Amino acid sequence: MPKRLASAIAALILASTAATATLAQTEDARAISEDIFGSKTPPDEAYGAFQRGYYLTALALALPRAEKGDPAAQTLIGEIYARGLGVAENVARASGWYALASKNGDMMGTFELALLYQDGRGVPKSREKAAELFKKAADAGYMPAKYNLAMLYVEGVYVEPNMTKAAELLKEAADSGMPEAQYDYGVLLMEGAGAAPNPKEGAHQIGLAADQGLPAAQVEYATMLYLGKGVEKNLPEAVKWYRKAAMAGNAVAQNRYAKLLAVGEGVDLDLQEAAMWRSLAKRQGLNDPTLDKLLVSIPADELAQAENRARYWPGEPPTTTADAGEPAKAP
Amino acid sequence: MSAQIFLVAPADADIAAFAPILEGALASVPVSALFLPRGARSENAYKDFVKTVAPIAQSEGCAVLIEGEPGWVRTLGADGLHVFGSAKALPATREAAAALKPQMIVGAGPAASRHDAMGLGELDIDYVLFGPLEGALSAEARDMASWWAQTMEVPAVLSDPQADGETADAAGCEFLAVGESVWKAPQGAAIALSEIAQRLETL
Repeated sequence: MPKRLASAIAALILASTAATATLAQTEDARAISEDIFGSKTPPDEAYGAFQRGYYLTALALALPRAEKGDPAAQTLIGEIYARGLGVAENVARASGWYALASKNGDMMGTFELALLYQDGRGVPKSREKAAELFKKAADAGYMPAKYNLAMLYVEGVYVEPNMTKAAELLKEAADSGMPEAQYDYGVLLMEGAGAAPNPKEGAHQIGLAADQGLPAAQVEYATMLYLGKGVEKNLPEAVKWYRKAAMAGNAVAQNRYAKLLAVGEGVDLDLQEAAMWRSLAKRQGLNDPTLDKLLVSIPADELAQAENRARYWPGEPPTTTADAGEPAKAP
Repeated sequence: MSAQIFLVAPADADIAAFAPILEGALASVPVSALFLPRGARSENAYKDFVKTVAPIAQSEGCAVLIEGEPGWVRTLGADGLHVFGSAKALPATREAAAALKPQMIVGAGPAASRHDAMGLGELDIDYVLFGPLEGALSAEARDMASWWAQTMEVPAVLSDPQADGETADAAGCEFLAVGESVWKAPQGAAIALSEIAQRLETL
């Protein structure tokens, strides 16, 4: 199951600033908003320090507030200890602060604590407890928690299986702009699981996730464009998305991009380029006899060059002319 | 499981007067640990007090915790050491844990803040104390102890010096520390203590 930690942190920062009714994400934004709205609420200094990377200052500012029961400060301290920012990483300690923040109604703290229980980090592993906390944070309106709760409904072990609920939660999270949720909701709509099948909307959602840079969605979207499933068939577009995902390191995308290059479908035929992507996919454990057949006719020197390029990918191999010891070979 | 009793002796107890009262109290209910605060006693007077009182408690299956140097625990025949203080107690607690654990008990507190409590709790000690040993227990200290008990693995001792048969509540902690109200109870220490024990069992 994908961990939503990175976006949770972003959301944490967003929500904390939203709580003070200013979007003070940066010093500039704060200055502007203060100019426009006037400084009615004092900025959260602990978060300000956190965002600028002054973690020990943030900790010192947050501690007295956290001791007095400020849930946002408690989550902030949890974050500092969970990630070892300026202090030794101490997940048990983080869990204590998250638990307190959760008790005081902080949905980010609740969500972070759920992740710790799910993985058994700093607390004894308990998927049941995690499910309970995901529910709590989802009920409070926290989108990443809705997404995780949806996954639990799909899994159907720690909460009762319920595809309809999963679909509803995924839709909410997708509408809020979470790429993972857009992708999963899209897949669900394509398959008609938990919701009426709607390939067009499904493709749209997967496209949104692809736009946000989720490699799995890019591969899926490329395949849909290739097949004309839910969207109009469009080979050059399919190639574009496979290439994007391939560049991001997705092995399936590398394999498929290689195949299209090997037969010149939607893109100019380029055996050397195809062989390079095949090599990169193979390096990740993806072997494909079909692709090997397509590349059986590649000249040996082309293949050697392709594999050399793969070795230095995403950089460029050093040019042979730069090497004074060996005479440059004529092509 | 109901909370166990952690009994705190008066800081100014006189050996001759205290011994029979303690004996009676310990005979009335099971007490897990007895802490003997040093108070204003001289080193020798305190050591004499411990040497006299410890066997009485230990014969009832009650562990005896003292205050002072780690080395005193073995020489005085006690079972463990309590390190007083919060953030400032960290070095002494670390030293005590290194010197005495795992054979002997080491505890520390009262923790003044959650941050301090976590610092102490990470020293691999047997318990963290919350709340004052004399006077009134604040709602903040009770909340802090309750949070600790729910979140952390190191046991919590919540001290409520004014607890009685009506109000005693360990707030989820493994141990409730009592003393002041027990020794001052008009009905006598043994009865006061059994009232508290009964109350803890009903919670």
